[in-house]
Amino acid sequence: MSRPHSLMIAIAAILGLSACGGGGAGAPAAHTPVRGGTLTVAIWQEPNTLYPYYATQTVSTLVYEIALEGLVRVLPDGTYGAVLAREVPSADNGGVKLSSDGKRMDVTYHLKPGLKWADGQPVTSDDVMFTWQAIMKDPKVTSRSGYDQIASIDTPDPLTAVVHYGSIYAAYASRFSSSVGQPILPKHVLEKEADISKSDFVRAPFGTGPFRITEFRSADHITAERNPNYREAGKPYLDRIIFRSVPSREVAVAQLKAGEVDAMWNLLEAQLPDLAKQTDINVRAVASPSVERLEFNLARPASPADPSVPHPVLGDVNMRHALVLATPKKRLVDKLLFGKATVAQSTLSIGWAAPKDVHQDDYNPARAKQLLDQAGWVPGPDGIRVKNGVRASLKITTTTGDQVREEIEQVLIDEWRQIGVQLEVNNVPSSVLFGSWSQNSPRKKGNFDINMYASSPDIDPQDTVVQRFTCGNIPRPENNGAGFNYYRYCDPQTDQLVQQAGAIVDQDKRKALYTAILKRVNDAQISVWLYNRSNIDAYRSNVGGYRDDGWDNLTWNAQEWFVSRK
Amino acid sequence: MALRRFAVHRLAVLSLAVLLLVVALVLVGPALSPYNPEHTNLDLRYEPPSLAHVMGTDSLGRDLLTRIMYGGRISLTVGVLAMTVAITLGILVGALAGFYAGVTDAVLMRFVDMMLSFPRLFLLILFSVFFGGTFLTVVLLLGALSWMSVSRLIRASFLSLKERPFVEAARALAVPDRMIVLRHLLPNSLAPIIVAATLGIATAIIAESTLSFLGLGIQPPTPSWGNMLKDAQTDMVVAPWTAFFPGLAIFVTVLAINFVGDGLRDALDPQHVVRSGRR
Repeated sequence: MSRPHSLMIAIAAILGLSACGGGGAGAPAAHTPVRGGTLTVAIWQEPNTLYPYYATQTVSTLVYEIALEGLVRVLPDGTYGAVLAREVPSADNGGVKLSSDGKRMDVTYHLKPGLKWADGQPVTSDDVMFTWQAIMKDPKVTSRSGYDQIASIDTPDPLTAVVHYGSIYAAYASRFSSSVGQPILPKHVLEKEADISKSDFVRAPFGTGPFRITEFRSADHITAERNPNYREAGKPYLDRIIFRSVPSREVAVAQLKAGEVDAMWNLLEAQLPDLAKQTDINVRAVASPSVERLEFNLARPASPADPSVPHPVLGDVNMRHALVLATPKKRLVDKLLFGKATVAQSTLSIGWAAPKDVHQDDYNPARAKQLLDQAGWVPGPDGIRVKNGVRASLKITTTTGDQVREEIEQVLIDEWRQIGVQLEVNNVPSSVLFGSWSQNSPRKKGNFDINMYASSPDIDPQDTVVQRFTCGNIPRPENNGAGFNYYRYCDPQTDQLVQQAGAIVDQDKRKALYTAILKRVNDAQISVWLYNRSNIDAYRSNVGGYRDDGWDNLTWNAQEWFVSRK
Repeated sequence: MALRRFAVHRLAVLSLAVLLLVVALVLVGPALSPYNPEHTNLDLRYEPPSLAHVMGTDSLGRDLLTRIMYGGRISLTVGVLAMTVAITLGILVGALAGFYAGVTDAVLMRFVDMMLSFPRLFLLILFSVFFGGTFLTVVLLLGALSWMSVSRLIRASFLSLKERPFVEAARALAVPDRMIVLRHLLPNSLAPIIVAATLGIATAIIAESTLSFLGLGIQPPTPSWGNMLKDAQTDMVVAPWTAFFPGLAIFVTVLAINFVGDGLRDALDPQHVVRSGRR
């Protein structure tokens, strides 16, 4: 390195160091990027795969996102941005064309010129076609939603891919997006594999991203090295990112405080006060689409549940309504989450489709008791209500090892007993709660009363409303347990509204339809929307380049990251 | 006579007094407390010890002293019941092995060896995940994993007692086996049983605490000393009393039980001069 060059680096480093004074939860310090170095991120869940189309865990996306990119992504402000494509296709720029009969559509992506894979090979439209084929043909893929609407893809030239949808698929813009973990795959590497799940790629993927995953040592760490062929000159600044496996969130916090790791992901609102006191740690909380909810089972619990047999207690809409009224959402947020979250009113909290006037009733236990009295639930000798010989006794299930969730459960037990409903805790590990139909997951099979967990819709809500609120997506033996309608909620009018919302492209009209859908869902009282969760990440104050994005993961802009000298 | 020997052991007497105090507290205390151990009050979270709340409040505003007393009921009951299960199973297996000797002895003792070779904590966790953390499963589980050392004690005692003249005499009088065991051998093996029982309670309390600490034992909102410690893990930084008092309760109780067990051992079996491994 020439002397003036190294002098400049030194000055930049000194400037960077001096600019990194106070940290805390306040404004990000202004930093000048420093080249080189390693950054360590603590992860306390282990990805079981790094292949995007097999992954079900957020932590998997967190890791592979620095290596694999999509054509588009969702930006922090909730709009789409171009990544590998030159621009996001829309009706205005001619990227989206409807057929003459209005029943089909074509979406055209133009790739940026000069893109290369991490091994130096050029990125072409053949890779886009290959990605679609890989999704459709591979039996182990977790979801084909949207891609199953594509009839064919043409590649008239190496930089152009024309996607022919066989229908009007409203959420077209959300496909091939980095933010939902659906990136473009390298054809020249994967077409050779008879079974991708058995290839090295699932443990050490590489793509067009700023880094390539080079090493994955189970229960220890994952190493990612700089991609020399990354499209942005001079980036990434870091040489290496290491994801270190730690046993729990608490250990990650301890290591972050001690300086053994530089960043960690997915903290709880309840941890904010403690970390806010640390002057050498920055904590960033940003609104995310994640909503913590209580999910009611409208069908009688069984394995599998029969959706036509109503739940003896929760089958009564008045009981469900009363439970909504007996939940002190605001108090939970203020006291247990230190006011760092907001009360939720529906499953869509942010984004263009988030409705403005869809609500749930506020805490009103007196009204809850009134409702139950009128509905014929009579308090028994022990204070627990009975109707037609059925005791109002329910079990609540959430993930073990989560103290805030356990505290919420205990508050609910107390509050609901006061309106005459008995609640018992029945927690299970997250792998059980979020398991699959073939793993006999109680959630999938319908063998539960109430589940408590968080879920995040995409910026385009069509997928979410289809999977969660339509009759056809109740997990059943006939459809092999597909679908996320764990409520076993079935309303023909809701189905109709959902279908309409998916078949038009006009965003304003779609938004109105989603508002109508969410209103119907709330009127049916199938869920208590507890609170809107934030994406909370923390990093040491000598880490620079981090930017919030509620729609994505911690690592979405890893090419901007750098570490100043400690 | 044994009582006099026990009374000489001052630490044991003191510990017995402490134990009786603890038992009295957990039996009577809850009735005297104005607080409900499960009633949450989010406005009173993490109150430090004061006149209103002698041991402070926890993360949900519940009075810690009340929860420790109720939790003590659970922990001590689990301890005593688990120990009972262990003693019963241990006596059964040990008596059979010691009395009939020969092949029965060999088979049973190999079975005991097998059970001993399983890592205890691992099994506790495994069965907890499968059968859930109800009171009954925890008691049965802890009992089922602690009977082995008792059975060895009983077996050793029976093997030596069996050869004594009074047993020979009983046999000569055609006393049935069952009566020999119940009327002659068992009462004379009381000493090691009592000591094992006492120490078994302590072990069971610790094991229940460990299980609850891992989230697999007694489920919230029912308090037990172990699950109170678990909740205190993250609360410790802002409210150290939430960890200190449950920890102190376990420590004092288990220590007292151990000293009482020591005293009993010295009192009931004067040949036990050397104190070898307690568990």
